[in-house]
Amino acid sequence: MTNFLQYAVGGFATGSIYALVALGLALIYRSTRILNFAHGDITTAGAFVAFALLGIGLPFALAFGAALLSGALIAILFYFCVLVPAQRREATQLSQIILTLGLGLILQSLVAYFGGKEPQPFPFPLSDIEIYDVGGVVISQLSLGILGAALLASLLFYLLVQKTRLGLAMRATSENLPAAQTMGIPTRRILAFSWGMAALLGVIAGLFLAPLLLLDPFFMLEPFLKGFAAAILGGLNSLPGAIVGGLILGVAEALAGGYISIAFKNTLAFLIIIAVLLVRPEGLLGKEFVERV
Amino acid sequence: MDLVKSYRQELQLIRKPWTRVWVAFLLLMLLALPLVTPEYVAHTAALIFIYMIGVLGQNLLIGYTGQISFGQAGFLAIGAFTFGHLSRMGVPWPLGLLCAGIVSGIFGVLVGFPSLRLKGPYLAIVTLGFGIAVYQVFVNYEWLSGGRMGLIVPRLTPPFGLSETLFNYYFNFLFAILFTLLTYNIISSYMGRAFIAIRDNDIAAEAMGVSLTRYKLISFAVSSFYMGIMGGLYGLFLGYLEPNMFTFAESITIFVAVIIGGLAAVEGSIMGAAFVILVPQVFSSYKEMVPAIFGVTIILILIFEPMGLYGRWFKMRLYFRNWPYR
Amino acid sequence: MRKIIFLIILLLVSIFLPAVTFAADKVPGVTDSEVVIGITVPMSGPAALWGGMGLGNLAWAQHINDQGGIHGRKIKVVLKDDGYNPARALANLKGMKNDVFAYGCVIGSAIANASKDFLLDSKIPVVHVHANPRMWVGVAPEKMRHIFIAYPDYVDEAEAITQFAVNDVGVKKIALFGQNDGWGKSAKEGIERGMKKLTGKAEFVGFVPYEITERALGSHAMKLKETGADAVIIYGAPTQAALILKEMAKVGYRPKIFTANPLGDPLMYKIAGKLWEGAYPAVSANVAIPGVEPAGDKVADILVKYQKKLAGIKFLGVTGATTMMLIAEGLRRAGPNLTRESFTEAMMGLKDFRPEGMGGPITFGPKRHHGLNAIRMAHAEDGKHVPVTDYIIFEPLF
Repeated sequence: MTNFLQYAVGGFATGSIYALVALGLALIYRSTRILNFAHGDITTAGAFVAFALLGIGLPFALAFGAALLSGALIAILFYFCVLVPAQRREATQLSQIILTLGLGLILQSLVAYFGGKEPQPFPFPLSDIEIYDVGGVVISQLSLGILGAALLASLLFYLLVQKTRLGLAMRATSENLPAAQTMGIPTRRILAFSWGMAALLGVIAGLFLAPLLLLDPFFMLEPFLKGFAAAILGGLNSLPGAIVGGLILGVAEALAGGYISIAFKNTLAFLIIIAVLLVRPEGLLGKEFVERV
Repeated sequence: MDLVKSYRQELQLIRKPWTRVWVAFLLLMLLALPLVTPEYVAHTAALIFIYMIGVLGQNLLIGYTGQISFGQAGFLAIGAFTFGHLSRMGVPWPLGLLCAGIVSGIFGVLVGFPSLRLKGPYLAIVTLGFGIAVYQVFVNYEWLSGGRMGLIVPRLTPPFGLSETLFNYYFNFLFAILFTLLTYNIISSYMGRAFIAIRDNDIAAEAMGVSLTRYKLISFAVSSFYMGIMGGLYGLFLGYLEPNMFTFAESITIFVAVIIGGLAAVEGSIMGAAFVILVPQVFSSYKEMVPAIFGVTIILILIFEPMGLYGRWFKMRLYFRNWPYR
Repeated sequence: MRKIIFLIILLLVSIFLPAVTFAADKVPGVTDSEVVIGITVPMSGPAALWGGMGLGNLAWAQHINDQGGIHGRKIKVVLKDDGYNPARALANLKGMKNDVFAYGCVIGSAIANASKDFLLDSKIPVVHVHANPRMWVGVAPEKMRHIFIAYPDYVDEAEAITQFAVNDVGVKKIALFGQNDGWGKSAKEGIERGMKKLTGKAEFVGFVPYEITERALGSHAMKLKETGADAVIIYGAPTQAALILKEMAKVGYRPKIFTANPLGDPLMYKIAGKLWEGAYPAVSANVAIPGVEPAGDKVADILVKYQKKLAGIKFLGVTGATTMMLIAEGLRRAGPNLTRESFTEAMMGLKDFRPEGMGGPITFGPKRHHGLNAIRMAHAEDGKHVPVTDYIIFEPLF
């Protein structure tokens, strides 16, 4: 029983990682219908900025702040310099996806060139070794922090999107772009803001993940793919769905690994997703096209 | 741009006499290429031919039928390992290759079933899951992947005393031509029209009597068949297979080739395949910067030509046809 | 529009221009002032870390050149990226064929296997292939006379680690945590073979595999704990080794740790911290251990002087540089009249050669192309890897 709980708690900790990644992806998809393949790489770039600044002795708050800003900046620049010109020439949805992939490749390359390719320990205020023991089940301080960050971030975003004028504008832009433009919403700025926010969320995830997974140019590869899957499981256009999807994926994966087969852990996780999607094609909390043919 | 006057003309592969001359000239050039260039040009070209087949197949699925798939590496692996095992058992290669395509096609139908219910990114994740599952199955069952040393695929002995590279070039060239013609035929047949109808408006297509179930599944089957053939040829080309060669990155490469080349364009697929092979190869001395160069070229092409390389080609042709008028 | 066509033509010309080679009966890649060595390594993509070995080669060549080169010739290294993709690696090798004197440092089992036939047929000298050496077993010695390898065999290594763990450290139950590919599975075979020879003194209680890109290893740690092993042998990359140590510590599981040779890297202390203390890493017998043996430090300092990027990955750099040391020794012995044949003969004449005084003795010969198949065991003490056994030298495989 203790073992079962330990697997579940471990899965929960992993799941909150996926949830943080999924949040950023869902935010972008909601507002632009683009799957952002550069999400992991923007995240990595942000984490490397923080790492470099910590290396020259800046305090955590400053370094992390700069990392968040630089991540947001990359995304906003990408939106204005690449996506807007492409959209002006009527780029399709698919070619916009490939554009994000291009950005990802460039960032990956630059990070590897300037940041080095060897794994690095990432200094962080929360400890990964410090553990809390509750009746034989342990969870590390860092894992708790990640879970907290994921929940807090999604709560703040929920409030931002649902309760503020800015959020209203964001929703309007994502629901119906021409109508929003007609109503005088500066849609381009709103979309740029969405990109920036999504990248910010990504970098937050990256800052929490780097101490857990060790920092190197490819440390977001696996979390990105799983976060992607989690976002879809939860329903790509739903922010709470991203959290739920991430947690379910993490726990399912851990239990499948523990009790069925560790070698097929990833396959089992995807089988669960496929099964869920066949029952609910729009994801757990998604509200998209409901159509039968 | 062309005024098509009759249905017969519409079905013609090449409509203008001058185009015939150009195509013939191009084919002759390609036939002569490996004789006048050093070995690695022929090697790279052969690789492009192999990729062309897969990209053409995926373009049928993504470009013509409008279904996103990220599971290409899975089909590729199935085709490659099917071919590898069969040829090790002594099955003659044409039969082995055919089986590779068919087995891969059968799995294509299986993966196609969720496409009846799912769309866009939701379908993408199912196909992605399939790719990962195939990879894990091959990694974990050594009798499938040929053991921990990988699977050695016996290479063909080149006939007429050709060198290995030269033989590989012509061999794969033949297949590339074959599959290009096949693709042209598919898209101008009822099947191809049905694919396009599904992409443009599936409900209207259904109303017009196109069976969605059947043609979506056929589209998956055909594209996976192409991937399977590509897998077989790839195995034959490298002479060695291991599951690590078929990761998500491979799916992405083929996906990029389809989009960069241009959706729903056969010539585009050819250019796309050439692009994803040539760019990293030509710039391979730039070390860490290779992905950056790849990324920058992708972004530049798609910003300036959202229709992909085919779009540029199309406009160029139009320009020359109308020259000196603008 | 014209401009674009012009650009396309320019591009095509630039691709095919290098193709125009000048036929001559001179030795490819050799002039009176220069000898060219071609290397293809992964420098981009998830396996990019191993590309550090290529940089090590480059740095050592620069060092040699600053010493005046060899017989008046400078060594020029052509370094290409293959992204760990076998088709690209093969194309790189074929592309360099007429311009290089020899190949150095091929990395990865898929790449080595896909290039094997080409390397055998091309008759171009190849020094050091960093891949499972078992792939060369069964190749006739006269067919591979130009191929030189000094890389320990995974199965032999795992067997030696097992015997060391049971006989010298006294563990009773061993579990394996390994990469889910040929490497991890070879280790499994080696441990099983070792157990058979130990006849009941200890048992092998389970293999927990992980995927190469996987980093969330909580379940893996639990699985290892459930096996109840008092020792875990790790066959994985430094990242996963450090992560599994952390995860095992979290669930309160502290077995004795034994690892494969790439983890003999002092980098492990940096990324795993205190948890690494007390581990028993195997160390490849090709190198001296930096920080403990001065020979290693000397080489590492030289390498970093030429390639700043090697500062964080000194051990990998030194490992890579041994390839260039072997090549340099071959060139030296081949004399001023350099041909591929004279180089091959010179390499086959190497006997008990220890590059820069590092590592175990390397010997090649007409019937022996596996120059050194050896490791030694070290112990992580106070931030250093201290060797605790002599070189454990296995039978060369070919």
